[in-house]
Amino acid sequence: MRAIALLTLREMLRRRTTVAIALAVLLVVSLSGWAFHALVSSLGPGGEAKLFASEQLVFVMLVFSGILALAASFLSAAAVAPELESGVALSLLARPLTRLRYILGKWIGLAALITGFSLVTGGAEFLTVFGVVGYTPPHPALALLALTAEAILLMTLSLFLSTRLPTITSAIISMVLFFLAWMAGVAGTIGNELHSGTLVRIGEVAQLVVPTNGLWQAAEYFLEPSSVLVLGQSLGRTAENPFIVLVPQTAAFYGWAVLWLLAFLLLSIWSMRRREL
Amino acid sequence: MPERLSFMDYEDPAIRTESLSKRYGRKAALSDLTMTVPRGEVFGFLGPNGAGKTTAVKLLLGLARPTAGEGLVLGEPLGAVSARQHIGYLPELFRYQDWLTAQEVLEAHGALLHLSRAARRTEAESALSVVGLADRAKDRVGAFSKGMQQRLGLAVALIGSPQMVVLDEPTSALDPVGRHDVREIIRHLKQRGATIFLNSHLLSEVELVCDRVAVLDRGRVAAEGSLEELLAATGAQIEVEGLTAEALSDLRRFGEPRLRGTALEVEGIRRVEVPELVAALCASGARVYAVELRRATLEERFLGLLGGH
Ligand SMILES: Nc1ncnc2c1ncn2[C@@H]1O[C@H](COP(=O)(O)OP(=O)(O)O)[C@@H](O)[C@H]1O
Ligand SMILES: [Mg+2]
Repeated sequence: MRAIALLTLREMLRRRTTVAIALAVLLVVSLSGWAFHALVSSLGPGGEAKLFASEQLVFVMLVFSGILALAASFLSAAAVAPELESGVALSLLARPLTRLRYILGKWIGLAALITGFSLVTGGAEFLTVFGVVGYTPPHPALALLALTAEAILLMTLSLFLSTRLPTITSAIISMVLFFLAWMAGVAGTIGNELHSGTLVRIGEVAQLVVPTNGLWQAAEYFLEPSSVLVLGQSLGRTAENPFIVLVPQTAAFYGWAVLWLLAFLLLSIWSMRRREL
Repeated sequence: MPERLSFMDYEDPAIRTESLSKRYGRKAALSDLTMTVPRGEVFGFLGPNGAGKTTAVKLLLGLARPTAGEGLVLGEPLGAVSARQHIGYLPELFRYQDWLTAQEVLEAHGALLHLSRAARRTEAESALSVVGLADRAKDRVGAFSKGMQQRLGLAVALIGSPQMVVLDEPTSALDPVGRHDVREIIRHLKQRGATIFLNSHLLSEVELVCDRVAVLDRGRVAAEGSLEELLAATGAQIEVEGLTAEALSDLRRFGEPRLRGTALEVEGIRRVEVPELVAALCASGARVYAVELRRATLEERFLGLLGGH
């Protein structure tokens, strides 16, 4: 299991895809640094700039979560499907290695990669904002944790799909579900505004089917400065929309997310054990 | 004759299967494979393309599940993890991580065999030198030719002093030198006491190294036995003078006699019967000048066995 985890990690670090994604994220970080610099230049340093910066940061982190989701979906699929298709897995699985350990090894390697990736690039973004604007979100570590969890959820889904489907197919299905969950979040918000119970319900159900957007909202709550929360709550609003979240995620939701992840991990193991090479 | 012991008889062979079968949908890839391979034997599994050789190997290694039947490999049920600790395997469609170096591929397999870090390194180095890749140890597998990758696959199969080595068409991508090397490796493994299970559609390959062979055809075993048995004499050619018609018809008890001038051919006679045949000829007053046993080549037997097509 450890051998497979290390092998997976090494493969991901050696492949050009990973390097390309890392470069793309660095580009996002430096562009956002520039944008924050422009913000400070036009508003001058002070409370107003920080308020705008906080909302701009939420937007940047939304983009960041999208890139992380994309990376998680593709890298995860690329760590399993090509190996099964090409025949590399034939010689690995003829070793004293159970399918269970094979999948767990893959999962651990990928989770380590995604966590490292998310902490380094997310941390770089927070540091950039702090350096340029002097602003730090209230719970940067918790926000990154939620974003990492979101990516790991998607990675697990993609891992399951790639035990049976080709890389691209697995990755695209995961991404479609990720966007579906995000759109469901928007639909829920619109439903709230229009007082349409049906829309709200569609939003809620879709959010549970793929809990990635719920984790995004958890991350977003950790990023909102208290002034925004106080203002929003004083207006009597709790609305969830993709850009402003005023209430923390419930413990029940976190529990559901953990169950969801375990379910897809178990499905991956089951699928792998049944798979013939 | 292949021994047909009941499945529960225990004498610890390397492989024993009982009515092992595999269907893919409606296609029977392997039907009713019952065989025993004693430890230390070089066993050839022969058959034309699509006969079911690779399927059989995948069932033995637990890479695929049988639809019927059962088997023991190194004393463990099919697919048991503990047996795989002692098996080396070169797949027919071999591919190794192209982003690793040859040395790293072997060390990774060493890690999967739970070898110590030091043992991984030394085993990898020695396996690479056995297959003639010592000077390419630090090169990425992605830059290897097909033949070099097959050599690497052989090295992978040799890691960890396996008790059994399963080679599926091990020379498919190799040049004549490579084929010779593979034979040497097999001989070396045999000396060490390992069991070798060699899948091949090439008779010449099997003929040169195998103690025993099974010929597989369309998922079924068409013949099994030692090469000696499979290549049993199929006739005798005799130069004879003064053979009477009566004596000639008497030879029918040995086989099918045919006389052309002084050339007598007895089709289907077994080796052990030859002295008796000669004695009968002499007793009849005929004069025998030469006796030659005709042996079928494996090629002929092979084509004969597959003749039903
Ligand atoms: N995964 C599979 N799905 C469907 N049919 C298969 C599969 N693997 C093998 N077969 C079929 O089983 C038969 C035996 O194949 P195989 O064992 O590869 O033969 P050999 O190794 O002797 O050339 C062939 O007809 C092949 O098409
Ligand atoms: Mg084959």
